[in-house]
Amino acid sequence: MVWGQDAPNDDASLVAAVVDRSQDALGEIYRRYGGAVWSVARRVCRNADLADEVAQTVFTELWSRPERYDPARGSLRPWLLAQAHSRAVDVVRSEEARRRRQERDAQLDPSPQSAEVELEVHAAALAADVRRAVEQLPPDERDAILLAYFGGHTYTQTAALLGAPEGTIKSRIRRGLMSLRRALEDEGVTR
Amino acid sequence: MTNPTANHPLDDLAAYAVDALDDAERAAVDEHLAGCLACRAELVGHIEALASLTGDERPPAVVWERIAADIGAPGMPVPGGASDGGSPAAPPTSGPSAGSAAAVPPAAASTPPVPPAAAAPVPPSAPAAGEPPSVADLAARRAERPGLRPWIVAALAAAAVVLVAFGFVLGGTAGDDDPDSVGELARRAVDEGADVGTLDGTSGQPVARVVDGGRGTSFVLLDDLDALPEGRSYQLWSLDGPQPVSLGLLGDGSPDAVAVPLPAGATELAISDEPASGVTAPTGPIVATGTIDRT
Repeated sequence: MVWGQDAPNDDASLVAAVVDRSQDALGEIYRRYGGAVWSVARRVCRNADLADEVAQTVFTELWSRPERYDPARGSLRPWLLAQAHSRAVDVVRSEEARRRRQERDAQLDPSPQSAEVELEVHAAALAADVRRAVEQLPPDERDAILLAYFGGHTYTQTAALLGAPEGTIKSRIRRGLMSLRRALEDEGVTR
Repeated sequence: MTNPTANHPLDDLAAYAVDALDDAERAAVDEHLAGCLACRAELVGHIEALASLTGDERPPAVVWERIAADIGAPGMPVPGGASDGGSPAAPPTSGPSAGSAAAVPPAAASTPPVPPAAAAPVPPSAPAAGEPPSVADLAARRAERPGLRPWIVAALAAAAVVLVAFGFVLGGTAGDDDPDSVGELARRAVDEGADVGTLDGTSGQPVARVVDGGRGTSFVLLDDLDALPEGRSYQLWSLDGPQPVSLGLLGDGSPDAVAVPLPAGATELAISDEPASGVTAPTGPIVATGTIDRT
């Protein structure tokens, strides 16, 4: 069923309709933002099945607890992506912990991770206008953000990957987010 | 350590926004946010910027199917039509007046949301005789089999194949591991009757085996693949998702048993011939493909 032309159009109204148990409203939210939710889950989980589960959970959670979305916390798309990102990171970290235990059990040498390959992959996945904005960032800020956000690494792991102190990584992430905001504005990126 | 500026943990807040804090630090930021409007506003700015980094992709139909089942609407068609581009646009602005029936019949078939920038799929051309198939060709052949996600063809045939390396690239470690011990572990796993899948080469004959050693450990046995010249390495790929995912480098074929952590769901595999440092998307000839049984 297509969301009708007379139906409320803004995100807050859609969520209110979900509160009122409108399945069509949830469907419309999925139509608008399901692709992005799945995309961030896939990039962080690096596994289509896990991404499917994360995306599904974000929307079933929205159905069960729509009141958790507060428009004061930002518009719906960024909020949904933040939910997806957070769940995807949890999934990745428990998979990672499980794999490390199995490597120890099998007495295999843990393989070193390569920051450069990961960074290339994360940057390549960006849309052209966004990539132009990201390329404007100072490299150390850009690398910290890409590894932490898309790699799903803790700041400790990110620091190890980049060979930098942990406190430095946090401040690079902060400066990077400020730079990113400015760069997105300069590039005229609207999402 | 937090940013010493005022009482606001700005550095931690930024790490919080990218989900990079540990549990204790995250709880501390949550507590601060509960009482600080300024930081909540700052956080909104962060998550909006981060949200711009993600575009749209097309989730598999099963994602909506499961959501619909969960919310008590099994069989509800996947929202979104095929023609409107799926972008967050306003509902149709022109149309019947309020008085007339404006109901649109539900789509007869499920159509997944179409990402705004979806390109028309370009049918891959058949490879010349004797030439190794490209990844797109393989995907086309696979797509003809029932049950496969149809947009693998579109995604692979379109511009840059974006690849995400799962976890890490094995890199030079394939050669650094003691080949005898890895081979020994692999042979023991085979003897114990671990699941074996074969990967066939371009002539249709088996050239490699995948042994599931259980507990997440797998081995690739490069039984019949030629040793590669210096500067080249075999690389393993999962073709299960919309884009190939690297499962690691397999070395140049001379240690003929390589340990590979196979992620759950990796069943459609391919091996390609690549530069020794590994690549983020398949570039070289595909030398083996196959489906392995993960039961």
